[in-house]
Amino acid sequence: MEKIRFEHLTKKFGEVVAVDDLNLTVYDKELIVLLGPSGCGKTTTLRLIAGLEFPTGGRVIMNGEDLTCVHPKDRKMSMVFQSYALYPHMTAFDNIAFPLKIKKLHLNEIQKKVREVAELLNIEDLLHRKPKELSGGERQRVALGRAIVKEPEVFLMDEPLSNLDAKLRVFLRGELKSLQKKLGITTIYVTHDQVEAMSMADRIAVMNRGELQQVSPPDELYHNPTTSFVAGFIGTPPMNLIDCSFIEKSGRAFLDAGEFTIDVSDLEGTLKTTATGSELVLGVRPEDVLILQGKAKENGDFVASVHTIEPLGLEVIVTVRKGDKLLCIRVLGDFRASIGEEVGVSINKQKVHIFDAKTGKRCNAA
Amino acid sequence: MKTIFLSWVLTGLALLIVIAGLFPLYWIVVAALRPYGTLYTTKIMLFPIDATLDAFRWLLFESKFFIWLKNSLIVYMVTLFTCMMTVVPASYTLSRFKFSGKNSLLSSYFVLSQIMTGMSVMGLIALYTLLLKLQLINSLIVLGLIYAASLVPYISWYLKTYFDSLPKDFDEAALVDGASFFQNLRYVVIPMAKPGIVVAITLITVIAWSEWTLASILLGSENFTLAVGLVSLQARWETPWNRFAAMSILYAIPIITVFVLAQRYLKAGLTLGGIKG
Repeated sequence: MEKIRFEHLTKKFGEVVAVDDLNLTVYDKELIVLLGPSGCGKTTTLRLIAGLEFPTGGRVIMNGEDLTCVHPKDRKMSMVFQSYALYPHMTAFDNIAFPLKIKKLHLNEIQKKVREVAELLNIEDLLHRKPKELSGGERQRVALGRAIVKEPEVFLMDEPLSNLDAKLRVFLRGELKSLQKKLGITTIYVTHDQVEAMSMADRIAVMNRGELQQVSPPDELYHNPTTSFVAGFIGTPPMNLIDCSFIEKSGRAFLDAGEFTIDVSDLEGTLKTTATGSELVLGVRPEDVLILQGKAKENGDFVASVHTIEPLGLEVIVTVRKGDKLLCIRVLGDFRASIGEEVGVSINKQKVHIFDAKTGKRCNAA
Repeated sequence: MKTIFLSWVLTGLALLIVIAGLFPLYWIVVAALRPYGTLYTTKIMLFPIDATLDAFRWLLFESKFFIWLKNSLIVYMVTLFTCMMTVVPASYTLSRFKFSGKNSLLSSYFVLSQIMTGMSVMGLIALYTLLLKLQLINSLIVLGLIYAASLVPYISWYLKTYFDSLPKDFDEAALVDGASFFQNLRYVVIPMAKPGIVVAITLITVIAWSEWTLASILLGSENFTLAVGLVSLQARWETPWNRFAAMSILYAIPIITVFVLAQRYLKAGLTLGGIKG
């Protein structure tokens, strides 16, 4: 069921277009992540939803009602800020109780609700403390408590975990996700961390330069990116993106990357109809490339030399070099070679992603 | 050895400076405690062996001191109340909102108050004539309003700068939490701006309590404030300096009290902790 809809949402700051003609539907009870590099307009989008910015064009619709002229205080939303923005002169209790106090609830009811939320977040012992006496993770929980106690229809979260250390961040993102499912409150979550996005989201909306690139569940985003930006942004190490041109030779079709060519005869038909020109980008995930050593190296698509080896325990990240091109390869388990050694490289043709160099759009079907 | 000697010399010098600075204060206390007339003798007496509380007794039981005190308090309360009610929302608005004419408003605040200061005597004459025509002369409330009017630009500038230094996140959090403009001011902004507001109150107190020129022109003798009353002790041919000194002491006590109370709030770093650590 639809909860929030953006219709041609646009925000300009002077000449700068922060959000450009955004159209997106957020469903009830889902956790949607707005993901993108810094400056891509994701935080501005969140602020537009909260009413902290006024749109230059377009509108935000919640439950079928146009929110454009609704004051932030009447929007039935809660927001968790990147800085937490806990009121420094109030105790944790007063911070959480603030939205209820504003609503002029009875003191007994306020106390009851704050206790409930504190219990849910395991912060009952911290309620008498001021924000400066709390650690980062504790402040984060108090900020979350203040958002929950309001019983909003929508949670807005602006990089709520980015100020925490790595270990706590991993722990809290799991907690946050299960909390969201437990409460069943529609959540719009902003982050620049793709791992955080992948691990938490029901759906991810990737943004770049104010434009929406793709909206998909995490696995589809990973396996089937619709633009070269999404392909390069999602995944660690990132997808190999190689500029190449489409050529036809003796009845077969090839992608020519200069240093090597790949046979794409199977895809010839779709490539010809979708590409705007012959300039294409070949995308290959590091795990979709095979390294061939010893005698087998001649059986691959081409021979390259080992550039770097990064053993990570479970897997080894190998970078090979062919001419001026570098290719990142993920090898599961063990890999032994010396730097500069010649190895064969075999690309899984079933898993290649081909994009139009000019438009950045995907050319081959998923 | 050498460093110990140096530190003794420096301490001695510092003490001399402190004594030189405090001596006038001490002299006023001594003057207040000595009997009338003895101040005119050529013999300098550093410690008053003939100390008496006559001057204070006269002030508290025979003079109009309490009437003047009441008048001063009325003027002060009117000034403080008017200033605070206008300056806090105004400077918050100037700090947080964009609106057309904001910059010209801010600079005209400054320029106009400078012009007023520059034309001081002419300004006084104009004000006197104006108030006379409007039959608003000799009113404590009007005097308080005039003080407030002259203070609003300065205090607004000052508080605006203070509000500028408070992160906007708090206001926005309050907004999303459901607070209206005034609820945000009352529960979030003002408590966080306490140090700045206390400084503003101190400034207002000093000016409103000690202003003499306007008060002496606009007020009749039944409406004298403490400042005017104090100066009125100076008679044409002789001044009872012991009473004058005693009254200066009583006159200064409220201001000193405000300073002492304010000190508690004047520590920096009150906002630390709410925003990320």
